[in-house]
Amino acid sequence: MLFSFLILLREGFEVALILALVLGYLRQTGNRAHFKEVWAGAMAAALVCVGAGAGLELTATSLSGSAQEAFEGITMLSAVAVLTWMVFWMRRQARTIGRDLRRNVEVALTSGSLLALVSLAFMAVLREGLETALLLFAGASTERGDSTALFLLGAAGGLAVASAMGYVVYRGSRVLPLRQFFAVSGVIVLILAAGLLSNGIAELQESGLIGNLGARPWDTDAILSQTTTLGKFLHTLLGYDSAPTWGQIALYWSYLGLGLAAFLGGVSAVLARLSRRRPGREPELAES
Amino acid sequence: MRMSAIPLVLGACILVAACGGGGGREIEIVATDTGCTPTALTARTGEKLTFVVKNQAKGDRELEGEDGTKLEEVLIPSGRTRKINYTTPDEEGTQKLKCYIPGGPETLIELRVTKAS
Repeated sequence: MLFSFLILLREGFEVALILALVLGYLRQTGNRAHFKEVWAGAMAAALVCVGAGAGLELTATSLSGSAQEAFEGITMLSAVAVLTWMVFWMRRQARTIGRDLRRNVEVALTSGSLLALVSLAFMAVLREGLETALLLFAGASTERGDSTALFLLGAAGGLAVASAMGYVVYRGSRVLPLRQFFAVSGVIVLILAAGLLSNGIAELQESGLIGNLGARPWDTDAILSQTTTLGKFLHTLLGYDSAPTWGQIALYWSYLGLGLAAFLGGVSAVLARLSRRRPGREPELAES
Repeated sequence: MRMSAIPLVLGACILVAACGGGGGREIEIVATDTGCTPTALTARTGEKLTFVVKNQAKGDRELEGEDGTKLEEVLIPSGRTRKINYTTPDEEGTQKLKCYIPGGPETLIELRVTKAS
């Protein structure tokens, strides 16, 4: 539940931010009449993403045994790649995203092509939405202990908070600490991704697709069993494994160590650069 | 954000920990290199069971419900023991469990569930 909440909060906010910037710009330029094209594009993309998510789930349930484990393992590793890329891409992109979007909207308006506006919203939502579908599916594969209702409740909660934050941005308020939001959620995403990485390669080993990942140096089953609710919860969220293999341990810590070092190193570099700049310039959305 | 996230996570952890269930009648299942035993078990309807799975085989083994039996897959590393809680359904019938080598052959265990008297 917390997993789906966090994913939807972060991904949902990226979508909400883009929509808020586009709609806010249209409002400022007296183009409120074109809101419907933006919403049409966004809704169409959302439908495609729901379809993609359902497709993943149907594929997984139609497979059995080791084929299913292999499919889930590969999806989890793809999700790790997507999460990592998203965290670092967003850090670079956030600084110019407002300007880029405004330029694209201008082009769409001057060309007079309503379709251009529809497709602008469609593509923006589609990219984030497909990521979300993949991530939720990867999480759902390990979050079997959670009921579907709770999992969806978490997702809905995350989306609701993200939408509210998007609305605040749309109203033009600058009260949201966007930089801090992206920094903190970036760290959380890297931690979630490290857990998925460990779970993913464990699935691949169970499916027989990859060989033995080495011995299991410890066993904490007596302290916290993976079959308990708390054990399952931590398994999904942090990749807790009561008896992990050396392969899992090594990959988990090297991913987390390198990822956090690169991310936080970049964060402090950007902060140092920003503090040297005059305030009140365009990059309000600048990410840390 | 940072400040509010910590109590949220802690609260959720405590909540789920408190809801974890207890164990039931223990049933021992032993996995060896030649398969798992026993392959036939009996229980009452709605009975709480705890499968104590001992893996004496060289490789890992997994236990999982089959044909609609609601038991999630649990991995038992080589040389280890895992306790798995399971509550039988309220209807009579035969439940199926599979005890298997990940990605390999399996032993089917039948659990006959009869009316609680």
